[in-house]
Amino acid sequence: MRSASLLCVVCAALVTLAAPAHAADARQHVHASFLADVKTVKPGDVFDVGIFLQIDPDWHIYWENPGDSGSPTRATITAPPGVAVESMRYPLPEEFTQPGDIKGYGYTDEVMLIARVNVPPDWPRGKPIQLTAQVSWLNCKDVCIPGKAVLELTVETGDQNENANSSLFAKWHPRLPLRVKDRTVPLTVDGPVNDLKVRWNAPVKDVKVFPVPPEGVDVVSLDVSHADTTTTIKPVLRPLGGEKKPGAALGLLITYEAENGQRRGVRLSIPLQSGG
Amino acid sequence: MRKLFMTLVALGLIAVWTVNSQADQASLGQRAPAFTAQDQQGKTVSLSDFAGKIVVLEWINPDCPFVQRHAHDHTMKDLAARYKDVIWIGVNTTKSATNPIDADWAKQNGLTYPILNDSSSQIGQAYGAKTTPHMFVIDRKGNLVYRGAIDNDPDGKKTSDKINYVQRALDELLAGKPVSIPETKSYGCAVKYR
Repeated sequence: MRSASLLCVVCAALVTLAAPAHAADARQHVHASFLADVKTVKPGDVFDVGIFLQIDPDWHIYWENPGDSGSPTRATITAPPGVAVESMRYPLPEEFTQPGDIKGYGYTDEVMLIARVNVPPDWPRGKPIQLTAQVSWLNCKDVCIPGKAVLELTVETGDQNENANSSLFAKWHPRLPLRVKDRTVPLTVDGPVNDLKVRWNAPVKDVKVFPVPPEGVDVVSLDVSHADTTTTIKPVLRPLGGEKKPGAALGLLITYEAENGQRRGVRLSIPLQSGG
Repeated sequence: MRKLFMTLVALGLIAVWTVNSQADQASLGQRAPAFTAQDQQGKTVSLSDFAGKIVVLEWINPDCPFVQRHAHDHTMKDLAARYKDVIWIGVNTTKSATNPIDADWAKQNGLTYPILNDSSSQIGQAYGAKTTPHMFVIDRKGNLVYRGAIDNDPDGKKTSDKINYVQRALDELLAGKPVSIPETKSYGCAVKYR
């Protein structure tokens, strides 16, 4: 096997833990690393990359919608021309309520954000793929401390895929929300954006809905009612002035308890444009 | 998904942009809660001291990076200085707040307005302050006419299309107009209630 003779190196290197904008750098409570689920990838194939964030006990970081306070964890991946990186996916968040009835959505202990990378068929075999991730987060406990890191990762290319970090990706993949394009999505959605009807293929329990409003829009309220195989979601939205962005979409994460007792989720994107 | 999109288009989603808030806005447009507290000099300050004036309340926490960024950028300081007939009041509801902490913060950042010690949480709870910063504007009649974010730039990185909601509200009030955006979602650190 040719790939076995290649020097296969996956560099999950914390290159810099850049200084926060203000003091308290030494109090950073998140360790970030950048991983791939392959050591070697075959051109024309895909692989996943993960931003793995390990969080000190009692501290938390935030989901893509932080809730009443906080700031989203963000990761942007830069790839060579021709290599396409799909959008970053966030595992299902925890919901926490802080004193003052301040609701937050985020993560404690650890989390891995995951994105798919598409390698073009004409990528030269043997030529490594170099990726850079810019990651930022806000870690909070009694105080909040911003953090950021620039991380680099090299994936070799060859005739066959060779897996890496399998257990870590196997742990986090089921915690990613399904998307409508996934064949296994267990629902269909219909109706206007202020009165959405979610119809489940089979009865589900404990349905919760988390909004991700686009820039320039507030979600004033989100009324959710569920019975058997139908969930009705009534978001009340409010524009915040400024220019309306073309292509704006309301993100909705719908979580539920699956038959096996595991918590699962579906991520929807509801277009807000009127089409004219 | 296509079906959904077509349905949305057919129903004319422009309506979404004109839906009025149906959330709990009980205190918006109504009398702002009264309060009395000590400022960083130990002086007693009451909302009733400023009857007939426009008042801005700014929730602060010197440990919060959002507050630190706005202090660095002089966002509140410059706005407070710009509207000389507007009363600007900081409120520190952090459970560990003390008058010396607030005095140090004011000194470090050249703030001349009072910062109230609300470590008892009374003012924060009365107004429903959730974040630092969280902004409230009270009109000359003593009614709450704006609550929410200072601006639409949580990351402080916008180079265009930036809106300072408090500035907009003050300009409208001073021009005798109603506040066009009376409520937004605030951003920042959670208020560290006791």
